[in-house]
Amino acid sequence: MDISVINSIQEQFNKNEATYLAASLTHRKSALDFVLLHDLPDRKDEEYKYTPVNRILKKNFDFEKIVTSNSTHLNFKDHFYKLKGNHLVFLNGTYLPAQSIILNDICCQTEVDSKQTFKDVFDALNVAFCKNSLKIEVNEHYRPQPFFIYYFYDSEQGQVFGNPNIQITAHSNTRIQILEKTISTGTHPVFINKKVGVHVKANAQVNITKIQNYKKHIFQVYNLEVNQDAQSTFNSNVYSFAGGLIRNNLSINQLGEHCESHMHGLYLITGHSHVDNHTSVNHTQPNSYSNELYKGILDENARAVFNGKIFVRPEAQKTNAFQSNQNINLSDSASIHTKPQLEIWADDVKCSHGCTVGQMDEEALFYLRARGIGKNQAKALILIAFSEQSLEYIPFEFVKEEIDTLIRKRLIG
Amino acid sequence: MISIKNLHANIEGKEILKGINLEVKSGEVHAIMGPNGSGKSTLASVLAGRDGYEITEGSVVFEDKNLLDLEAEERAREGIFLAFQYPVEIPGVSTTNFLKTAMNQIRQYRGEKSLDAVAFLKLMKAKMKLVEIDQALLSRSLNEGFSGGEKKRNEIFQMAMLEPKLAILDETDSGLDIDALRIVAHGVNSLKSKDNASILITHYQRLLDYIVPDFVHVLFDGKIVKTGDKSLAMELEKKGYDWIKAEHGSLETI
Ligand SMILES: Nc1ncnc2c1ncn2[C@@H]1O[C@H](COP(=O)(O)OP(=O)(O)O)[C@@H](O)[C@H]1O
Ligand SMILES: [Mg+2]
Repeated sequence: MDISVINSIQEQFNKNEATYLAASLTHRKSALDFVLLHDLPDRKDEEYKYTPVNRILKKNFDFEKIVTSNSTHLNFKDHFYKLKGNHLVFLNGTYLPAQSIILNDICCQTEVDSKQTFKDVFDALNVAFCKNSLKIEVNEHYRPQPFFIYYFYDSEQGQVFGNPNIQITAHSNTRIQILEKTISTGTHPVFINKKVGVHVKANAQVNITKIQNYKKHIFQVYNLEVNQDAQSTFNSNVYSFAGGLIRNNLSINQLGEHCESHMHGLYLITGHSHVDNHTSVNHTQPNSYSNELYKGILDENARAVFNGKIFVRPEAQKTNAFQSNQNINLSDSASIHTKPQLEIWADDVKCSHGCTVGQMDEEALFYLRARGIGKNQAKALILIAFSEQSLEYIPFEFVKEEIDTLIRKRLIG
Repeated sequence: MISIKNLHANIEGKEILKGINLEVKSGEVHAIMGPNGSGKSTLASVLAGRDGYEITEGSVVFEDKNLLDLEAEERAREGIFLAFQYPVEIPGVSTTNFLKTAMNQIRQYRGEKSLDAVAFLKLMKAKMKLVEIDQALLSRSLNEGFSGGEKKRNEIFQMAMLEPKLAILDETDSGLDIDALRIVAHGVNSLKSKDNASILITHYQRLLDYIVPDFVHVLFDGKIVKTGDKSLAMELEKKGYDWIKAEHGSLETI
């Protein structure tokens, strides 16, 4: 166990203690105890073998140098999409209702709900430290405007430790679309520890798209936990372009029959960016479906990790579960660790998985060059085509375009 | 148009081309025949500029330019076209999509204005008709799930679009049924002019019933060992390659 990081977390908590409401304090304290007991994961933890958060934070982040002021010169509204919708603002991990545009019923709780459990140390850390919790609840037969969530981080004055906490409930027959984006200013390190819970009730649909294009001093762990009831659909789309550390934990529990889950991801990284996607789908009832496609292109010293778990429980007959992780490694110094993990207890199921790590397809490259297309352009064509296959499930056309532009900018320059 | 002199090429240290001499003039059609493994595709690849070959001797001059100094894309822009023996699959890239890029890069190289979408479509329509290829096929991922015939027709379609000076067709006839063969041959014949030339690499005489060559060469063990006219192809069809092998294989062992 590393004493120093844990100690400074404890100290930080004590410093903040006075600002927490008495009602939530007990819950926060038990969360903190959980953190202190388990410690932040390191290399020896199987799940964090290639992403030793403890070590990365020790090297790059100092809990003692955290600033907590919530003032900024950032003009939030300048960054809003010019579209009708709910525009929700977080600053350094705290939800700011007064700065947000809210069209639909959502509420902000200033204390964390004691119903919020913590399965792992980052959940617990979030519960212990989050300033408030945003609750998005959409009622029956109601199709709300999209939710644009902007996470602003201002680390101009010092290091920032942000703990956004969001609970989303899509009641029966509703349909929620969410887009998450991060905007930052300042050069001091930022540690984001985000916790989002989603409950997709019967016949409801939730689609979450996130764009992760962080500066290199941003380190993020994101726990997204989804529970799906019968006949519900959940889509996750995640596009990672840069970041000191990006760890996305996506865990989906299909609790009813005829659930559908789609997971699409792309990481297009270079420099020293580190992107780790851990996903898990738990099929517990019959007749459900999950489909996962993560694509990666790595250059320079980038590192990527992919781990996809699929559980098919004994009752979950007639499950269809597909998983694919495809990587193109453009550099000798980039590295990829990819691992599918299937555990199937039911016998009447269709499951497939495949992980590939390859170089640029030289045959394809020569083919295009032999038609007169310059080498760089030909490379870009192949890589863009490879990347674009991950854009299919984005519900907003303008976001597709935005991501496509990021892809092209990265690959064509 | 192209003059190949004493061309020697190695791959992974092994000599495959062992002194090729070939002269092709505008307006001519040359057929290169030969048993499997004799180096036909290697010759085509070396001319098109594929990486991985070491040229140890000889020269290739294409329209006053030293071809071997040019990158693959520059050769294409100069007017060389290779119809691949095994066309590559490229997921997510459609023929229409990359061909437009290709055409405009070629035009830019030649100092011509790029084609606008309308002009490009119009040209496409005309060429599609020529090789009886479907628009739907051209919008799909390149060669992914195409039948053998569709792949080859797509190669000829691209040739028709790019209008090369020198087309090298590497076994475009293999694996085609008679109808497809006829379509491919029709495409090649209609594109023929006094200003361009083609090299047809083929294993069988069959294609030469449809496209009449001015010269037939036999490539064996990295060298052109015989040159003649159409009657040489007929002779090969009748007698097979064994007599060539016997004649020239024995030379090697002396
Ligand atoms: N990439 C390669 N590495 C090693 N040998 C090769 C390679 N490509 C072709 N060859 C060899 O070169 C010779 C000629 O091949 P090829 O040009 O394809 O013949 P053809 O087209 O006449 O059938 C063969 O012996 C083949 O095995
Ligand atoms: Mg061949």
